[in-house]
Amino acid sequence: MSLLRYLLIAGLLVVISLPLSGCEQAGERQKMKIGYMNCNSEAETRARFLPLTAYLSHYTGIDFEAVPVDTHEFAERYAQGEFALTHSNSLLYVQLKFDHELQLLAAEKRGNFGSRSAGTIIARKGSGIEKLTDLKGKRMVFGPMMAPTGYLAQYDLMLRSGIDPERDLAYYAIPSGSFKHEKLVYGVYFGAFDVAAAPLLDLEVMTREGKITADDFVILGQSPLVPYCTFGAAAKLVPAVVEKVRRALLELTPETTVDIAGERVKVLKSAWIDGFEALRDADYDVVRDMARRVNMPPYQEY
Amino acid sequence: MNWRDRHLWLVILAGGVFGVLGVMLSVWGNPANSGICVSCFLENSVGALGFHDNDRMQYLRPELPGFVLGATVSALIGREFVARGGGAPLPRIVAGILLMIGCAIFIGCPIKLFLRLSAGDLTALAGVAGLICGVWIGLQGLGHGVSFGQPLKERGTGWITPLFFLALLAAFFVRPGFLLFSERGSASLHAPWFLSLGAGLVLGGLAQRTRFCITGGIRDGLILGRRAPLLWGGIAFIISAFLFSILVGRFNVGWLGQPGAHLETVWNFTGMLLVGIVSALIGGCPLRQLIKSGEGDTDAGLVVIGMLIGAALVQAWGITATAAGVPSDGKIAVLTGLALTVLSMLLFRERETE
Amino acid sequence: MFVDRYDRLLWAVFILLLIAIATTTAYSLQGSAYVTQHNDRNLARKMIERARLDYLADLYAPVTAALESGDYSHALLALGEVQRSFPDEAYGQVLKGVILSKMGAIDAALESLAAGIKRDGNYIDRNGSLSYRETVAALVVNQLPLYAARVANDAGDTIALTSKRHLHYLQSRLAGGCE
Repeated sequence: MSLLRYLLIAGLLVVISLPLSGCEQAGERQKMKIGYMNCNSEAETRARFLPLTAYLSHYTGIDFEAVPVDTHEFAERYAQGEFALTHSNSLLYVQLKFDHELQLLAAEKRGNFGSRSAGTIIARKGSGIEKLTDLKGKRMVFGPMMAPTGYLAQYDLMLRSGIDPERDLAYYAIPSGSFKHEKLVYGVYFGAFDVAAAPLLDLEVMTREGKITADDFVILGQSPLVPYCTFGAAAKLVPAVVEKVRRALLELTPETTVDIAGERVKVLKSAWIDGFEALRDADYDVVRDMARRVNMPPYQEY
Repeated sequence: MNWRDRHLWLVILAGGVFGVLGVMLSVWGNPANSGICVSCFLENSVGALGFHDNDRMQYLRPELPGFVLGATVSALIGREFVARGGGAPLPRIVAGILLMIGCAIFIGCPIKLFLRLSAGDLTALAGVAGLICGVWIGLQGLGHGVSFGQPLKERGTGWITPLFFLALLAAFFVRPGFLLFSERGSASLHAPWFLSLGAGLVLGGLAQRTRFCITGGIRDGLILGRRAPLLWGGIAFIISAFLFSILVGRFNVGWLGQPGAHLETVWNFTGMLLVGIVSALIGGCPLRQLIKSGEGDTDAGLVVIGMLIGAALVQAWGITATAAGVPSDGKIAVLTGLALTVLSMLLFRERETE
Repeated sequence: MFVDRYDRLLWAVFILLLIAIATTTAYSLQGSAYVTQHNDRNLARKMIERARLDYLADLYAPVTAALESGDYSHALLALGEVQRSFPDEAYGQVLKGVILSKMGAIDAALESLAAGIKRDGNYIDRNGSLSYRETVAALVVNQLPLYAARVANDAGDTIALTSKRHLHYLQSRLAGGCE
């Protein structure tokens, strides 16, 4: 075959492929769902994460859809393949990593400790409860069971301090419905409970918002710092997509905006997030160790 | 005197407008008797830029960019914008500093001197005498060969000062974080920006077209007598300011209790003496230097830089006089300024025997 | 420069002016007004500085009290209350860094310290009021080798890279030099 024929065929192929590739790009954008763990309600979750989802769609060229998911359904719905990306607390990340090889994308930064936070045990100031050993025989309120800094960390802290929540407390309860963490802080403040397992972040936020003051409570104990909310990606996801989403999250700044129904919205502010950073999986070992000691998923033994 | 000369009437018109706007800017918000005061505006503006820490004297006055840019536009329209300069650059910077010292001791530039006088402030009389004496001494120096050299044509450099003031104007609107604005004191008093800027542009354009200058008027009056158009411009300025001061109820004749004035007659005289000598030697009062810098004169641009430095120094070092009087540092500074001026007259003199 | 009568006149005036300057200076230095004028300026500066220190000490008193008693969580909450009104104030940022470092949140501590000291270098100066120089110096000495090792092991560890950058900034400020 002569060089001229080669060039003619190659040129023809290029001419034919150009409009085809254009059609594909313009017509069929990839679709993908992100499961966002509900904090208080589906409506709140949707509103919070709509700009972030739109930003990720804009950045990656993939049409993302936000799916609000209750904490207790999160693992199950993920296992059913309902969503490929996850935004959950660190304990759910550990569980999904253990069960489904979920990939770590980025950790959310919020509050004084950046991508980490801690669990505290608080009592009302002047109640006479000053230290962890005073907990015995008291009425305690925990956060939801899958909350790393509202349940796991405090439970672990008590066990390590020689207090068995199942035996040594008068009783303990877990509030129902929305705003569980605020409810337990107010529960102690108004005397319904003697002590509460309060996430340090919620105390920070409530103090900053003027809902409580630092002098209202005594902090009896504080857990080690553990990673906070985390973005994960399904193991089967194409590495290029994973990398693109990670980059999109890490490049977010407080000034990043996105267009929502004709309005410029700040992505991070809307999601109540300060930013994202790239933690390593080993940073979650502290959560794994706690889960093992407290006998919680994914290490639960019956 | 040719009363049919169109230029003469233009100068008289310019003087009249200066008088009217000088009073009205005060009515619109500028400090009393300081509707137009180049030295005060410079002190305010360098304060806004953070060059001194007197938090009563920090405001980026839009009149200043108005003067310069008005002159630039007028010069461009009249095809008079010519980049020129090169005569004794360092002495011109020092001259600018000395102008600000003299103005600081009197509390005001020559324009404000006559605004004060036309509003009835009799303490300004000593300043008038000092200014006239100063211009006369400067003229004697020029007559005896004192010269800072003749400007040469340059390329491009004429735009530097207008661009600087354009940047200042942009900063006024953009308000970058480093700008400081007084919330008390005289700098907190100002006319609405559009009136300040508008007045500045009009006056800058008129001053460029007519060469309006207070010390220039005195100089021409001393040399040409009644034939000097600038002298009539100055007289028109004083009369219109006087009439408008009465009209708006701001005329208050007397020595005591005048706004922005002190009673130290000797130092009022000395401050304006220094301004008069220096202005005569470098070819114009502080306003004229701004106008010339706007039409491409880089020598005047250097004087403006000197005035900016001087404006910062008089505030930062506490040289400037207040209603309480002239501080010791101010007295030493103005005498040192006079000594430096006399020394420079010796150094820059072209002698016939040489 | 002594060519003619005009030259001689100028020299005479110049000498007279020098005498006037000397006389005025001597008179001014003798008089109490001159000293008072300059003392006033220095006094005003001292008053402002003292007022600043007193105000900061008063504003952050609950925070520093909790910090000194080792109640770091409480200190942090008290700081949150102050920062509600003054979110980015330099001393608050430095205090936050110190508290976080005591709580073991080194990355966040370094971020706060660097931000606070960038705003106001007084808090790391040897003679600065309210200085936390020793705390910061100890943090730099102890943490820099650890972060250097982390970066050496994993060049993609962005958190370690950021913290190492903050440490180098603090190290540079501790080393002094002209600002």
